[in-house]
Amino acid sequence: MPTGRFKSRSYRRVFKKLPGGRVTLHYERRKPQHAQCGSCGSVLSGVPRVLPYQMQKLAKTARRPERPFGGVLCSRCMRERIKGTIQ
Amino acid sequence: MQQVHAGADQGDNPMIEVGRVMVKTAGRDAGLRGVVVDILDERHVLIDGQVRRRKCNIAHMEPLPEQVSISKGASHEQVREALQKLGMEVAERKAKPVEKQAEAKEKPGRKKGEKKAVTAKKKSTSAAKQKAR
Repeated sequence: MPTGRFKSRSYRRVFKKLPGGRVTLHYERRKPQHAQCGSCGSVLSGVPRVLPYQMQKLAKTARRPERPFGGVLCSRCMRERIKGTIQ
Repeated sequence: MQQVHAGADQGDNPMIEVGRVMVKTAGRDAGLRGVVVDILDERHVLIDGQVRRRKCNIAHMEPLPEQVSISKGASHEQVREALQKLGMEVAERKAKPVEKQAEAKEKPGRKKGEKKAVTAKKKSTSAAKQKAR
């Protein structure tokens, strides 16, 4: 029997094929949701969809785009916002 | 939520001229101000100022009503003075600090040396202990 925490579906079930040909069940954490634009809600590109501890292992430049509001707004909404501040 | 990007085609915009103050709206320099220094072709200009001096697509910037009097191909210093007259601060661009980099390279070496000295002391103490035994 798996331990209690593995019986709930908060863990993903992954079938791993072992070198001997035997197939075992591994339990892995589910991936977080895609990062979304704070304004329009579209999926942000350039923000990896990995677990928080894996995110910490990445370089800061690999975590979000290198521009104002990078990782918060999509490029289109960022552009609109900058244009709004001009006028 | 698809929005059509306005101003994508600014082939012959009368606002684009040498000395025009612009705001970059794309990339790392987005939100920073710069001046058109040279017009390279109908789509690209050379800009300088708060932004890095580089070739830019005019679809990636917004013109401002302000204008400064600079000559075509003006240097960064001239652009900086012109923008400061308008009240826009431009950070002074430092030349790459060659000496400082050299110092930084030396520093870890010195630290290693210190560590080595410490370990040598420890070794000496342990050796002394062994001798005492």
